[in-house]
Amino acid sequence: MEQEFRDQSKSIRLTPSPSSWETIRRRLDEKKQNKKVKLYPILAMAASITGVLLLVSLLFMKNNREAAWSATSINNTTEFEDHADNTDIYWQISQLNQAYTRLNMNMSADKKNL
Amino acid sequence: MHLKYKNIIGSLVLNTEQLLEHCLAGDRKAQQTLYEKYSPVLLGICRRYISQLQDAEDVLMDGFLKIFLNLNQFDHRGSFEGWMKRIMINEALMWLRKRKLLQIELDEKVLPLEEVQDNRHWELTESDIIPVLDQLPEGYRTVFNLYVIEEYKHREIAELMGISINTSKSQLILAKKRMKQLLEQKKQSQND
Repeated sequence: MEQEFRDQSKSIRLTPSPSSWETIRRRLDEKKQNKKVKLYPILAMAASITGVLLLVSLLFMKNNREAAWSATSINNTTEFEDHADNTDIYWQISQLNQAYTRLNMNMSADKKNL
Repeated sequence: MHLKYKNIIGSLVLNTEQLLEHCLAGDRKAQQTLYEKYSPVLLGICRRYISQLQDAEDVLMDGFLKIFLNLNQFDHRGSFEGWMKRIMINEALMWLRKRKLLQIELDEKVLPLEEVQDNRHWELTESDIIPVLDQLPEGYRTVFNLYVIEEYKHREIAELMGISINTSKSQLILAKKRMKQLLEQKKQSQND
């Protein structure tokens, strides 16, 4: 009996209704469409994350640069203050320079008069 | 020649391997060719498990959808037809399980049964198979299909159906017993 059943079962052929392929095709198209639709939010999310990361890194870089500038200006101020301690020397030098310039000017005026 | 007609003629002469490549690429014409080639055999399988043709056709459609969507998982080691048949059998079992039609009554699980050997020739034809199967309870029918026709082992049937090996064996014995009664009745009615 088993062998007979096996042999006869293998030759069973049933024709599906004509609309069944259309149903399968439509469902395949829907799946394809869904896949595309599902991809857009993922891409949008990836783009937003990249944007946020970019913004954060730009802000971070800007902050770092400002911190570096302020550190440099503090150093510069310190240097200036160091010089300020010796103001009298610089003042004397500048006075000497001015005197020298005036002397030169006078000498050249005398040469002209002569 | 117009591309559409070229595709149609091309798909008619493609062998299975080429057809699969086209199907994998999402070529609907190739998928239709594949469907038209194998759907009668596969619907026959679904119908052996499911008593209503419309339900069997729903299972066939779900199965084909699964075939097309998972075609890249076919490893080309065994036969493609065998791979498709396994998908259809699993789909049919899933359909039965969802509707709780595979639940086997406790009194049918006991195994005090001895199988009686019967070497009679029943002179069955393919048109006899489905009407006889339709008269069996779902549990008997499924185990009979899986063991006798698909040639699965009791261990595999037990795993697929979520039952014990002994239950699978007892269901088979009961199925065969019932089957013989039905065939005898049929033969008797033919003689009368």
